[in-house]
Amino acid sequence: MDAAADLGAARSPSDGAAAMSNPTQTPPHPGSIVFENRVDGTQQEQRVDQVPADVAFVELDGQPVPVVRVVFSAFGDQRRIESFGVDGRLLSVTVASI
Amino acid sequence: MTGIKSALSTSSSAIRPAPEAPAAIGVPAPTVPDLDADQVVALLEERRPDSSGRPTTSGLTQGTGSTAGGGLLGFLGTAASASGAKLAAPALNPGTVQTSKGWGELPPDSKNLLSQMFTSSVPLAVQQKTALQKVVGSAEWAKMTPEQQKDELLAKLKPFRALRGMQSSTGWGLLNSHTQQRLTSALSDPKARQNADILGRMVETEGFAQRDAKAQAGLLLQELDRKPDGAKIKDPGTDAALKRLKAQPAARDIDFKTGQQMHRLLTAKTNPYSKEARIELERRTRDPVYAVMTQAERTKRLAEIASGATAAPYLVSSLDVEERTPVDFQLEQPVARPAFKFRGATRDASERDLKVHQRTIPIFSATGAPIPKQNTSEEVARALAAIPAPALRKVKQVVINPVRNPEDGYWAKTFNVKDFRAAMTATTDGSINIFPAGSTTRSQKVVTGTIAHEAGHLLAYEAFGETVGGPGWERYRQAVAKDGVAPSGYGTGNLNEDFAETLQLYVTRRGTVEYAELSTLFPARFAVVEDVLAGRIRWTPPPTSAQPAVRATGRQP
Repeated sequence: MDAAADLGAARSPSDGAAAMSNPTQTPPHPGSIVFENRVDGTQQEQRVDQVPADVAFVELDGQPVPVVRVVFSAFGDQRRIESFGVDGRLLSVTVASI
Repeated sequence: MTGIKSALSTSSSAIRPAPEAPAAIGVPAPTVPDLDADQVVALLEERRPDSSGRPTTSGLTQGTGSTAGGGLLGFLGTAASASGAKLAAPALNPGTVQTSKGWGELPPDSKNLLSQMFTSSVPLAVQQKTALQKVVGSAEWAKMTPEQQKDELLAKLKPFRALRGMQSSTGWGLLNSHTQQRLTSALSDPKARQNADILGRMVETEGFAQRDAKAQAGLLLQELDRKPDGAKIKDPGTDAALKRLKAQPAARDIDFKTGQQMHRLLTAKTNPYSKEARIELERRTRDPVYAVMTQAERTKRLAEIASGATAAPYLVSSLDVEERTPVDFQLEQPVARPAFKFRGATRDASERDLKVHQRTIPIFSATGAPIPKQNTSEEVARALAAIPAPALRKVKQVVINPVRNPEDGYWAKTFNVKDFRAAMTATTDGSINIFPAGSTTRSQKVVTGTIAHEAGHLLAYEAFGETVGGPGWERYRQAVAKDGVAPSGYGTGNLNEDFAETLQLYVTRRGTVEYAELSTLFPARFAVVEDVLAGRIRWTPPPTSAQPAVRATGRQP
């Protein structure tokens, strides 16, 4: 798509993860994330300062929410990564196929 | 219950004994030779080797079981010397296999047989060990799931299992060494894969085990002359399929519920599951092994057509059916969004608002040259418009990312997946990121299906809870059990994927001519889907106290 020619009035700069709202300050993180690999049955824990920011936090409605558990699973040729918050709440899902 | 005959309104007749071949309708049904000893001898004599230098037969060779007499020993000696170069010590380390993830998934008899294969010097075992070593020694092996490793191990074991099955039959002892060699060669010859498959499956049937030695020898001999059936089986149509089913004495023992399900499957005209079920009925009843089976084995084989994913595609998105026409939608003109922060890149972007179902869903994409292997705003809009309003309620915005997910490398390293490449990320606030594809641009059908599938997961978590298989999933678990037939092979065995596949089937077929048929094949699943879409099922996590959770329906769980 070549939309450049039809662009209308510019809006304010935005963030793709929070285009509809204004992000606030990053909340404190509990400190570590458990990575559970259900494919090979292994589990590892990493300190949050060793993890990319976009893995350690998921932005929901403009608010960064700490991730404390990540689950990797496979089904057929599909791969799935689910990130969970402090209260066990599902925050995001990433899908891939091999 | 009187079985499938009630569902099919077929006339009852005495059940014929197991070895009887099914009646032929349209195509010849497999037949089983009933050879006496003289005929077996005659067949063996006909198979005397020519002057090519292969071993000669001396008629019937006595020997039984895996410790077969001169015939098998003679074959082993001859084959070993004839292919000495191939008998170099295999590089496979059994310990590597026996400590792998897949080993733990194997049933005990397969572990036992594999262990036998590891220590065997029979050429077939050597060949399979070499093939297994290639897999185990590859970089892919460690990345396989336990289930995938198990499948690989079973595939490599298959010819050896067939050999052991033949050797342990009483009929094997009636065959001379040359015939035994030819049968063994058939198991390892890639050109005779179909024969090997038939041999392997045949010797595992009860029907084969129950026959006497002469009949077994005759069945084994028959496979030496079988020409591979390369004919593609076509949909015979509903009438022919019903006639074929009614002609199977074994069909009368199918339980009533399964019989009803099978009747619905075979008689429906417009949906792909029914077409595949009719083809599968043809395939199964024409299978040479079917003719060898006992009545009970045939009944089970037929009933499988109406259960699980036998008649289903691997993925709902792979169904070659008409595409659902999107509802009327409007894609607004682009509005500039300079310095837009995509995942992994900040680029000038445009926002195009999709107006559909009285909602506005913004779609963001980078401006400038088209992104290779990435979908356009129009394609995404069309995909969203093809999904019913309730299924879209969780989708707030879509970002068409110009670069691959910057976390790909991290995920690849953390979870040991080479070239991990995210297709899509969905956050539970309803934001979807679509990343460029790795090979070819996703088709419209794939984009629609993928978004519908992921929207299905988001809805499922909302309706049943995020603990898949937990108490909130009970109603859907019951629906799966009730329907019998599965929407896809991919979804089978995993409630979360089953629901997402079902929702995808539901939303992409609703409004098509085949929808009415599908709703009779998946009535329980579709009923749950409709309740979820209508918001009538919503999971409330149990309170921390001992008090039970109360769902939106107001009922106690």
